[in-house]
Amino acid sequence: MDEQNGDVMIAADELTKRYGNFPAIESISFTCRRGEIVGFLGPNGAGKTTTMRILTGYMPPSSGAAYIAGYNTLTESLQARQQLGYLPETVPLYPEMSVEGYLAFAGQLRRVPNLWERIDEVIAAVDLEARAGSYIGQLSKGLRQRVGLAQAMLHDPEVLILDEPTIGLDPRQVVEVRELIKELGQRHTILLSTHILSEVEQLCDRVIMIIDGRIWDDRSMAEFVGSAAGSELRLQLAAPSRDTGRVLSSLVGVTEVTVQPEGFYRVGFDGSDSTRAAIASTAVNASWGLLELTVEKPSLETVFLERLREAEFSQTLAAVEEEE
Amino acid sequence: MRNIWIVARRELGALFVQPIAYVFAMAITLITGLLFAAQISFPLFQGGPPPNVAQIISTFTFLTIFAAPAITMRLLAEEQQTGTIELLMTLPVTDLQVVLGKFLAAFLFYMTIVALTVIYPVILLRFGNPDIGPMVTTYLGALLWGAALLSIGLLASALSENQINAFIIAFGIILLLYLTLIPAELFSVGPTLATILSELSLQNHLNSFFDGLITAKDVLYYLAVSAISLFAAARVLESRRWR
Repeated sequence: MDEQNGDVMIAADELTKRYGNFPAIESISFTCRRGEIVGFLGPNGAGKTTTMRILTGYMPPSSGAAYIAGYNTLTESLQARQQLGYLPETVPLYPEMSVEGYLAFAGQLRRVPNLWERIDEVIAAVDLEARAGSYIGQLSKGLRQRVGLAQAMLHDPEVLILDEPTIGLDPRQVVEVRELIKELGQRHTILLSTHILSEVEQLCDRVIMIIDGRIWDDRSMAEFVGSAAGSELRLQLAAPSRDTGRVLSSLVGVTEVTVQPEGFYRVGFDGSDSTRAAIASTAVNASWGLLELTVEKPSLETVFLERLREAEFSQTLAAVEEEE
Repeated sequence: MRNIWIVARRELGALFVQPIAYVFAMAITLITGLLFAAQISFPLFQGGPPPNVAQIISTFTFLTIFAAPAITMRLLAEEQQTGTIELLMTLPVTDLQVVLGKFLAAFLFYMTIVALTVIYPVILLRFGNPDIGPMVTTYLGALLWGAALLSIGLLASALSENQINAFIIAFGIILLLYLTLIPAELFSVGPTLATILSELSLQNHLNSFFDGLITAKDVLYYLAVSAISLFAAARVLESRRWR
């Protein structure tokens, strides 16, 4: 593991956690560099929260090690915690404390300089000015979520680990919190777990996908989305002929053609440039009046579900092999 | 040290916003007040021993057998049940600091209740001429006793996620340590075992304080019970993460 490198802010080294005999995660390794926003994806129960709890030092791994800003989360736990802001999934807060009181408590333990000024700043950043004196127990789920976020960023930590940060927020707040995360991501390292894939698409530079406690994919966002098996073209023709669909589907590399109204065609193809060029020149040569030719990028959702099916398939395969 | 105080201050806030604080304060002033009133009125009308602070405090310490587990039961159990422990344990504070902070809060709370009874010696001093020495040692004994009981309660609270269970565990341990004197006195268990049992007794070590004596043995007993319980509580808290 290259934790000597000053730029690596989060490092997981062969993390394994067993609950009794049940392995929650197995040999998870990855690193996140300064300024990266990494999306941590996976179906429920895949081990995302377990991994995050180990990274925060809340839980020790059964084997392996985790490093935050170069500090081992087990042996240099206090230094690691000082560099870290954490928003747990269920945002457990003391109901009998006021928002300000709670932030003051966390800030004092973290030795935040100019604490009260800083509290005012983060309260403003999460738009809680009106509720600063309210008891946390009286706040709605969305407001509590924002208190949790304020707590996580209070000490301006190098590393932020956020477990579903926008859950329970209304649409306007979701947008605001995303802006906030994006802004924080310029200087900090953020590991973000969420089920909202459009959020990951908007925010993250990289995607780590975890299925059944193992890393299934770890790539930049562009590569991850580009890894879809096929791509789609949107084609608009001014004067298509009756056999346009048939001609297009006969081209090498074209997998599927769907005819849509107003001269639109959706063409599934292998994604290669040569196929795209062939489609374009065919349309021009046949004088179909080519108006538009756009590559429809597959959404993260498409890729995610595809990867999930792959994982399920390989598991079925493994199970079958085991039976034989 | 600062972390312990930060944790303690937060905990004190939580203790005093709950009705339990005022229920205890009321119950204890009521019972000790009635006792004190009886103590000064009986000698006046019927003759008898003069008012005695040790007797009031002895009743008070008996009541804390129930009160101490009730004060401490939520301290760690609630954090574990509601999950607030997750954020607390990811703040830069050690398990031992958390335990000591919570103990300090419970102890300051206990001292507040003890302070309510100081009115009785003040009245006696104002209107009579009692011996101050035994009063001071009585209060010292009450504080050491409280520290030991609260530490046991805190250990029980670390052991369980459920507050009721924490109360029952604490009450059980305290009762067991309280009652070791009974087999030592009632049954012929042999001199060695009798000594061990009576030295283990929570109650036995309190008597010399009431008589106006401070002995190293008794002071060490309560300090040791407190230290062992608090250290064990910190270890239990640490071990919960490994499961």
